[in-house]
Amino acid sequence: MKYDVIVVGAGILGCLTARELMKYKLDVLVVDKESDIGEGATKANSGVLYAGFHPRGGSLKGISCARGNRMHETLCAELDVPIEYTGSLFVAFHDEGVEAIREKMKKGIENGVPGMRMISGDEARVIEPLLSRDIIGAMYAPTTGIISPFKLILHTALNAAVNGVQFMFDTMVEDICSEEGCYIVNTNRGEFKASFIVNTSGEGAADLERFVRPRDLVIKPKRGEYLVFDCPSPIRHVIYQAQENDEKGTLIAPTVDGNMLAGPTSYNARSYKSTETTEAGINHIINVAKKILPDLDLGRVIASFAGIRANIENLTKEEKDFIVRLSGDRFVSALGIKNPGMTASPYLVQLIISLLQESGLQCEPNKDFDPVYRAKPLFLKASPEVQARLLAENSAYGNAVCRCEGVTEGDILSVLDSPLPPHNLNGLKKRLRTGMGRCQGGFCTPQIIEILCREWNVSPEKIMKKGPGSSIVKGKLRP
Amino acid sequence: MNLIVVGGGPAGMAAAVTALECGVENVMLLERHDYLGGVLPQCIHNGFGTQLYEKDYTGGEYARIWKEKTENSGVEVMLSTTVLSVSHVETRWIVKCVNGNLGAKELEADAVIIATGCRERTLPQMLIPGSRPAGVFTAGAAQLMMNMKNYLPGKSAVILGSGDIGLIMARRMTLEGINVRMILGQEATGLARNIVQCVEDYNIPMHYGWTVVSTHGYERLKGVTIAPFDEDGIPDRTRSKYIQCDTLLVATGLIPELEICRGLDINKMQSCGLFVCGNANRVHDLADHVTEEGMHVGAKTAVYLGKKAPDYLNGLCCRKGELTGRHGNMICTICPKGCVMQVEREPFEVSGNQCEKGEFFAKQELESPKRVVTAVVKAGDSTVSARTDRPVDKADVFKVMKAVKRIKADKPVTPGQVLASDIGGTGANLVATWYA
Repeated sequence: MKYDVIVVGAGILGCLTARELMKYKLDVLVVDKESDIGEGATKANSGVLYAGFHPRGGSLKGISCARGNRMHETLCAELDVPIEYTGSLFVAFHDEGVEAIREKMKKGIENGVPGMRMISGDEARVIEPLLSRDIIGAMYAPTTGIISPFKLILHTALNAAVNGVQFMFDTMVEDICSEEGCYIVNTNRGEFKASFIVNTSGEGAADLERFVRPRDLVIKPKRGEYLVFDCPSPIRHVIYQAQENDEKGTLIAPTVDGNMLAGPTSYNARSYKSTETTEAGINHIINVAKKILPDLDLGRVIASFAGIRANIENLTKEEKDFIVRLSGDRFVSALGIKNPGMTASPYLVQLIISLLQESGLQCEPNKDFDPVYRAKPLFLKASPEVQARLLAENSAYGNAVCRCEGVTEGDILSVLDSPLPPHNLNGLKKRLRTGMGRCQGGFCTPQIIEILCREWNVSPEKIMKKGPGSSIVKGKLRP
Repeated sequence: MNLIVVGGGPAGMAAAVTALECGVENVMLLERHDYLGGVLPQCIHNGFGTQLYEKDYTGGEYARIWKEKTENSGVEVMLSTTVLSVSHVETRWIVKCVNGNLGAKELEADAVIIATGCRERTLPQMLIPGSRPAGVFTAGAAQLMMNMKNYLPGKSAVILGSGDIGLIMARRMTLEGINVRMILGQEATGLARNIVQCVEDYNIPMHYGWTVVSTHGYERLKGVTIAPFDEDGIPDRTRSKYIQCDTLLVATGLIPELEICRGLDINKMQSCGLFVCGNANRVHDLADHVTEEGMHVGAKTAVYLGKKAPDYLNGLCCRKGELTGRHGNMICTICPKGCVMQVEREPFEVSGNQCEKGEFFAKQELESPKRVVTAVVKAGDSTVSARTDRPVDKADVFKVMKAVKRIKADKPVTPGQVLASDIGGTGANLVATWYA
């Protein structure tokens, strides 16, 4: 079969593009080398919807961020994704800092960020009582928000799938060649044909482009580390701080799930697999977080993680921007989409679609497109009526498995039975937050292994934490 | 309900039974598992009940004593029931819970006892950096996997934490052929008998003053970097070493679990009828102490509900006796006092014992030491826990384990059932201790 469009890369940008293409009568395939959606930058970031005052004024990054920020409101309503426009405080500890913040505000204005205003340190402390007494001023930005990255990509992909997008995982693109107006995509899982290619492969975007044009960009991984604090979050706003030294743009933010995040750092990483945290990184985050919130209790840290972002290395900071371009005939690439890529994604999708149309994609409206996705609530969060119905369906809903996040066996079975099901513990975690609470899976992991062994009819060593080679247990003690 | 007890471990069972004995009517015990006993059944090792009952039970045997007491007492037990929250509305307590048969339920009571135990400190809580591969477990999770779920957690392990759980898991893993590379801990915090019987018996390297400073491997754990603490208590990375292992057990402490009381000021709630006991109150070294505290709190709650506490509770006190750390070099296990003794070989000299049995024990320990062996046995498609009915020669422990691994019992197995007689030619019988 020949697809109209093959999207390479099932991160947030790829999935949103695929979903958008379903508004037209098109056959779309999304391929990804990993075994799940959102295994790259999408899965490990701040969960912050940036307002758009960080990027250079008038840059694609700045405009797509400010515009994307607004577009998420409708998108998240359609897709049942938790989102909260909490507003942000950009705090300064000294006059130079205040100056730096004014510069940010200028950038914000150029990018079209609404409603920003300078406030005093005292005013900032009224809004956020735990802020340091040393803060002398702040910029308040009402459009900064927080979002669940997991839910955003999951619901986007599920909605895309319901509307007809096909997904292929564990599918590595090995070669793309063009033949009589048709691309032939060779993968480890066979050959696929398509008229158009969308390259949203993040870390691999520059490599993929090479099949249709000479390489001009070098994309290398950068690692950002985070600390996760237990619920409830001591702050309600996203808080940035004017950097004195090399403070790497570390922020603190509440999450839609009630935790608080502190991070990221920014270090060059050896490879895209290098998601380890470091002593230096953790110390840095602690220093910045304690500088902003001096009374912060470090005993409330429940997890640390690191995410990888695709950074264009051979351009200077002044030249660097998101790049969305026609790499070749009928071949659109998005390159160097790092922060604030998730925020910018709805706008970038529009750009990708218009480039596709420019190179000849026929877009006949699809009347059957349903933009609405409604997530099934967790059993314990459902109304009594729904609970009664679910329990009548399956008594497994009464078996609480993950006590920290309130997940029952019924919830797990339901996810295993849904489209785009998880293949390992991290996939389950992405969908249900199992093991993300304060016990970090200590209580629920043995039970989840048992459930997955039973449901997938496999032996325990086949249950992976993440990809191949990550068996949680080595087999049966008494075979 | 007059009283709802949350948690069917040693604390909750003792509290519920005692309250009922004190005359409280309508006592309900809610337990999230489908069996009573809490964490005890996964503790297949012996050493329980030495202080309260002057016996040397395994965790499962100790649990059964209280399970039977509870079931025969008239306490209404609801298993497979997870409590979600406890709140105080006017003068009543509302306990929200979920159960497979009843669904989400709201129960009311005049008083509530929280006996929800504790949870384990995790590696990220200790701010230890590194990759996040499979193979990093809290010790209790690994214990549950090995003793209740029939899973082999790994092949070679480093244990971080020298408290009792770490030591007991070191022995448990060694007996199953897992290569325990070393135990790291700040200082000797485990019970003396565990230091002897879990670590020294098996020559497991113990590094006090060392910690893990990084984990390695992206899929499965490949190894850990360890380093000693300097004078300021900060790991000295210049002296770090890489240790290859596929498993890291984190046994770095327990934290009382009071999540269901979120938003309540526990200390102020006693006067309104909310009590906490066992490890949910504070972490205890011995289950005996947990039981004892449960009994006291059960009686206290009865008094709150207008009943009279029985006198026998005043006599209960097992708070002394067993010491932690390696103060002596031998523990007398003949009687439950568990005297920590200093024993010299040449010339033979014993100090620290409270009676002459200590000397006899010391002589035996020097000439032909004996140990109770505890293990799990294949039964049907799962396992049951078991023990030798008497101590066997220490030198024969691995012979017993070899025989244990070959047994395939048929279900159902009842506790007390002999699974193998004269196991490994030691003269001891292997007896089932727990089957849920």
